[in-house]
Amino acid sequence: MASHTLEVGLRGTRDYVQGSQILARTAEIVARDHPDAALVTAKFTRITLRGVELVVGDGEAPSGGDEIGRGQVQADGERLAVRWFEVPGPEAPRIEDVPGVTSGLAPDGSGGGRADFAIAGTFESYLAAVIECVKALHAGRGERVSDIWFTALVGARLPATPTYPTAGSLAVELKIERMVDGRLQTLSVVETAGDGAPPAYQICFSCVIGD
Amino acid sequence: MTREEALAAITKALTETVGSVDGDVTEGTDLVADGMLDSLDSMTFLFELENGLGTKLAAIDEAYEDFRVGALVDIVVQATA
Repeated sequence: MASHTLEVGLRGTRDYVQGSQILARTAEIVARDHPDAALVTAKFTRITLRGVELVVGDGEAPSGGDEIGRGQVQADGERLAVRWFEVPGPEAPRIEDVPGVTSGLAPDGSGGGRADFAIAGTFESYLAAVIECVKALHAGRGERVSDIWFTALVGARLPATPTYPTAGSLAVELKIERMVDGRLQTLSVVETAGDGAPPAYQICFSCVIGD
Repeated sequence: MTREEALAAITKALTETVGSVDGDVTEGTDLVADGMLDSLDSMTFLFELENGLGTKLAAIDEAYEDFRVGALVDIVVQATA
């Protein structure tokens, strides 16, 4: 299988390439050969502000690039491994920010909560809504919370094609939280309501809780 | 739940988390130190374990870091007694 340079950028004032961009560009590339492709898992071990190379299947890792994450896509009834590598060199180009897509955030007091969303119905717009919602719930824990990162998706079945509801709501339930090396790691279950909503899955974040 | 049943539940949660497990999982196995789980996987493992058992394991709080299978078996047996 081939490797592909992903068209990603530093959105707005961010100093990192968003995981949602990496996953969205990956989904588009995989869907070219496998229209039924769905993202199952994704795990990021570090962030980058440089370009990103996607390796699908058993393809060779690009020389000199550090692995920043890996995942699995379900396609044609089989699991396809995907890996992402940082491309050594200049920073990714800066791209325009996009407005928020969630509203009515309602924390449940236990680390979870709900929010409504209005999106384009694409994989990327849906993922952006979910990450925006979960990030806001983490930020809502207090002023001492910083460095909030989306780190993983597990047990998902997120179609690569634009089959997502254009309006709906998200319910996030915090299931596991752990302190590891000074960072709080969380695992929450995300349930989506709306026409064509994907089944529930787990999402992981990490953040720093200050003194 | 017996210790054998607890070990089976732990092995199932581990398999759900990492796909396939190389070698035997015994009470002497340390899931993190032996390289079967990294810190992200360990959260998924705990989620799968609690899901499989159908109960929250009160002994596993945010500071929990003992991933020796023997210790986990103790917790599961106690929680399901």
